[in-house]
Amino acid sequence: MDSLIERLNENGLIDEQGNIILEKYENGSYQAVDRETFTGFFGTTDYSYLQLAAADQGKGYTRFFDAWHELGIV
Amino acid sequence: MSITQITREFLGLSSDTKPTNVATGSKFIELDTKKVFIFDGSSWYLNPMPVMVTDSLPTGSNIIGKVGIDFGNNGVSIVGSLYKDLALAVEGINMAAGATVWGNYIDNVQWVRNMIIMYSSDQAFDIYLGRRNMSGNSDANGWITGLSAGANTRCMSTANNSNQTALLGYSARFGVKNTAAVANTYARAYIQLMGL
Repeated sequence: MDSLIERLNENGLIDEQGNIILEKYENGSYQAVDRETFTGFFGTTDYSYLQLAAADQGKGYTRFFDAWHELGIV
Repeated sequence: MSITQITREFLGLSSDTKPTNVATGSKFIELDTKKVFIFDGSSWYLNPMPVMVTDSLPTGSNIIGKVGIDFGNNGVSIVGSLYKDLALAVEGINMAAGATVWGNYIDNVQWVRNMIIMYSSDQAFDIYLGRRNMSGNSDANGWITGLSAGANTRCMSTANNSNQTALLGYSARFGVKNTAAVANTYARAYIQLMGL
């Protein structure tokens, strides 16, 4: 998890509260998830792209994982 | 006196006819009575907050719910900035389970004590409040949680210990959190806070 957070941070995807930024919008607002919630959903995975995507199960994170995959984060 | 529109707020006299072709949530301030009215989409209703510091205070403990005299404010709403309303509108956004859409900070809101919040959503949600002081330190807390789809208006008081998270710092912002265990598309989720 720490290495994932580090890579997200390097890509400007951690906000001032330490939340994971999932999606940014034109006016500066954004969608984010706190680390505790994220870990609760995906903490049993190894945070690889395939395992994250497989664990999504309708939670709506797949498109963000796709974007992270394109950026080389996962 | 003619009525002057300031964005979504109107100034006039109590004798003036209040406009009805305005956005829901608009505010009308009667300069002669100091009363504030809110447009709910069909009519204007008197802001139930005790904003008139020269008024005689109501008696009893249930007249104004959780706001004001119940918590030792002597019925006086501390005015921060009447024109610094805080709002967040989310339209057509698919939110992941447990995710929060954060709006932008608005500054100079340090003295809002009593307030009215209006909210509406087509999905269940929590309202989060983020604060940031002048040193840049920030926090974020669930403010009004467990909300079902629908519209509501609620009075909040930061004088109530249970609502201490509503105390605003120098900057404040709203967040809408998807409380469902699955992703949801929020066709609309609106929050507006009227600091008084």
